Amino acid sequence: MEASVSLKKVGKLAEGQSILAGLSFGIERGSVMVLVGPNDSGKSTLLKVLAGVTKPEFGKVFINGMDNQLRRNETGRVVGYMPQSPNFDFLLSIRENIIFHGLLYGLSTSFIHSQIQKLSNLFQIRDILDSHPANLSRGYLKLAMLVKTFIHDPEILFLDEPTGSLDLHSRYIVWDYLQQLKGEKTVVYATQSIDEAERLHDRITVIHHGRIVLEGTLDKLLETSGDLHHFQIQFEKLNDDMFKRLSKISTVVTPKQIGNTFDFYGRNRRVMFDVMKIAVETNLLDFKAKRVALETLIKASTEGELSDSD
Amino acid sequence: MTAIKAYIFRQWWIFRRSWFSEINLSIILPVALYLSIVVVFEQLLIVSPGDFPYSIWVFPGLLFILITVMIYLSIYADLSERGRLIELTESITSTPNFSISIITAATLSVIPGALLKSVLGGILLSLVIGFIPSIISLIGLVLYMIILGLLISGIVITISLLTKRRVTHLSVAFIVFLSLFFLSDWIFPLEFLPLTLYSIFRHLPTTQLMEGCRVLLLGGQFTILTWLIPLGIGIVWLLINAIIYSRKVPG
Repeated sequence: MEASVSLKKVGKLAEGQSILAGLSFGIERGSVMVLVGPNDSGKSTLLKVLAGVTKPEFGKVFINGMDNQLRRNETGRVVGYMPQSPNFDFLLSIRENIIFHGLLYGLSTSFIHSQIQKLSNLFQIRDILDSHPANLSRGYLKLAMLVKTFIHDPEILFLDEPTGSLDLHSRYIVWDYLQQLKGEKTVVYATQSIDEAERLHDRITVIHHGRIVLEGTLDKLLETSGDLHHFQIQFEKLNDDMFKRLSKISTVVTPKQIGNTFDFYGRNRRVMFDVMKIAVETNLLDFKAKRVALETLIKASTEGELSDSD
Repeated sequence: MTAIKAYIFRQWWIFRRSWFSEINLSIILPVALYLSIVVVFEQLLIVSPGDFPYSIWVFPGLLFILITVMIYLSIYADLSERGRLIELTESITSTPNFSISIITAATLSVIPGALLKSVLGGILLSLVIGFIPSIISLIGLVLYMIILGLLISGIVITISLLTKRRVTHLSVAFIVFLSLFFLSDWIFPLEFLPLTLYSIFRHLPTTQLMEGCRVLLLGGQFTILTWLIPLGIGIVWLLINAIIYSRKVPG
């Protein structure tokens, strides 16, 4: 399928530190890509670079095959960008803010008004259109930002945590709408919520320290984890010697001592028996074993775990 | 043009919301200027500049101060704090507009409102002073005020782009505008300054505008160079601001 967004070795620096490190990938037309990662992982910066709001120090971003810095006028028309924090003009009402934004896209006032009516009904914010941003909750501002982002009916959307601060009802409205857009519009969506990523994805990209650490469809990602299991064995007292002996077992992956608990991963459940052969020499209190889900996989990959085995 | 249209709408919405205080300012400011400048300097200056009573000589200078203050107040609310400037421009930057369009729109959109309020203040001032210019002179005066508006907007936007905090913005603006008021022949006759200073400050675009304006109002002559050069400087200033904006604000 044709890529509507592609990056070539995109790098971004801030105060001498690398925020994005040589990212190269393409996003298929009509797909929904979810960016997941911890705070300061580079998700927001990546979205800004994609939207052309920030210039990368290295590399290029192409929107429908056009360089988004050299052909800003063309690329800006097809892109809708929603930043993480509300960015309303506090001297204007919500309606005026949205009209102002629409006029900057060169839209006619009649089209802007019809879009406002349609989108404010959809996101259920008709009643607050004439309010001032300073008088509204963050949840309402987020919904109003969505109306503002969709006002010019963009074909590519870059949304930075659009459901943050929203109540459950509003979240479902946004999720449902984004589901409807699948196949029609390209959506790149940053979130910290794994549930959201699982619900909306075509493709999930886990980003950490400006690098992509995991990437693929949910099924593919879980497939790569194979029969990976996460184990925790709680000792009455876990001493250094025991920890070292357990850590040396060849099938144990990324061992960690958390108090008196020996925390590790294994490629299958049988690893538990290898560990138990040694562990039974001391008093054991409890043990846990569970198959790795997306959340654990992301957590593990962003904490640098499993890197040896991967 | 799309950006200019959007910004003019924006200024209209802001004016509509605060028209009462804006009109009040157009009434209070000329009276304050008359009392603090005309009354004081009339007593201080022994020789009348240009063989005209000081109150008539200073009339165009007071109009220039009016439009300067009106423009400063319009832009100050928007751009006096870097955080707010970036907040406001982040979503603007993602729209299909070049830096030059955004800066041109931000610069030009404040001029009509400021001009309207200044003209209103100017009418009041002319009644207080007792000086009624001819219609032709008034049309020329409006042209000079528009070009001055372009220059002043450019200066305020440059200050906004280069300062990070409100207090720095205010301090720099205060120094710049106080110097302009006194060293551009607006309220204090430049010919009373030492010759070296006089020969420097007479070349300021704001001085040239004032010179052209006085020649028009008091002599009935229209000199092209006195507005053409400041207009050129105003346009170059726009370009410089667009470059500063594209380097400083996004990212």
